[in-house]
Amino acid sequence: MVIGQSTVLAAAFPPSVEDFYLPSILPWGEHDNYWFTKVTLLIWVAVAAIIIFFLVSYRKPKLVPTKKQWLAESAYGFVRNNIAVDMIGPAGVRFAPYLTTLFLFILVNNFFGIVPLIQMSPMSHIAFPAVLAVISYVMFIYVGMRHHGPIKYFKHALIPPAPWFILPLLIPIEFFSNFLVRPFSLAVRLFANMFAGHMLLLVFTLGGFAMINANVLLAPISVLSWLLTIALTMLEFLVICLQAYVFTVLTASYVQGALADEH
Amino acid sequence: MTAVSYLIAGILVWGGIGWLVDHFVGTKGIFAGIGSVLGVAGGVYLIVRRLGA
Amino acid sequence: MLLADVVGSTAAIGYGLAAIGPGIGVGLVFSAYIQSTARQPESSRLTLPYVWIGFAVIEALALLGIAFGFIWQGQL
Repeated sequence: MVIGQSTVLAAAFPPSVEDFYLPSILPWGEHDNYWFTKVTLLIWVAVAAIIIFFLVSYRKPKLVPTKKQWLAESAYGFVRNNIAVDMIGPAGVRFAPYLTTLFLFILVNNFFGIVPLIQMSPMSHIAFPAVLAVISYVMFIYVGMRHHGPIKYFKHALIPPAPWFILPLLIPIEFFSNFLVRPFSLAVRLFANMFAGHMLLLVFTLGGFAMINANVLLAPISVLSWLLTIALTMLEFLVICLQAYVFTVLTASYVQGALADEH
Repeated sequence: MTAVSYLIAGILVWGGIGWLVDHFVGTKGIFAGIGSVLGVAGGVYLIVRRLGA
Repeated sequence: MLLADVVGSTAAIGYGLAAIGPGIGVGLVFSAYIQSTARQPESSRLTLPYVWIGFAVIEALALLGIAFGFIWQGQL
């Protein structure tokens, strides 16, 4: 069975970006047609897992929740109370379903990066964070335009409270920061964290094998390298949860900024 | 987060405009420098106005 | 007679030196905020805007360090 790299002892060191290009599964072993690889399969598994989990745990809801129902309610309640209502206010309940889906989708996909034998997070390919960032971007602009009216929304977003003669200095900065940096930084933050985490684990794992291949006397240092891999996997778990949370919180914060009724 | 984004946006936008002026006038880097400092000043002003008291 | 020679990217050395000051400065600002909130938690709301003002002015210098490292590579 072809796992991401070839047999581990013969894997190339140091790991490079080439290790992120996985072989295509369907059609098997093609070189020009990469539409279905392990990454696509993982995304479908994540979507199916989330849908099935919520459907099954709400099949017969009881007033005193069972364990699965409690888990599903906790996940939704956490995002609804601590992210949607905290950041957007009472009107945030409208956005809670989308934010829960976003949070759980990013969390499950990131989590595939540290499960042994899968070890590949779809979020380490720039396409998936980019599309999620574009969706959040379109969402907060659309919500702002629907709340304020299109021209007034841009006036509200772009004109800071400043005397009139400094405004030409500030308006390009506001435009760049609000409409260009936001989606770009959302996508790149998630992508870079997942990419770097995976690369780090690759370096320490393959480094252990490379050291043994080079000189057998380095075996204790290889063991140290593998112990560090385990420690880094735990750190990676923390980063995974944090990045999913930060993406969702920032989306909620941008929606709140678009809905704000100040000055 | 907003603070760092305003600062970086200020440097990029006005540094970029300064670099374009450099390119068309022919100097080696002075307008990009002036533009960056102006961008930093604008960014700091925006942060003080939006996030400060 | 050449006694010492620095070749390679002096922009990187320059940025490293330029980042010492703002690093200490931002640490001082946030440490003051944390200590003042520890002494009197009700004041956290009042002092938070000043945290951002202080952070902005200090971080501006650090970011200028990065920007000038790129703009003035080996010239001016």
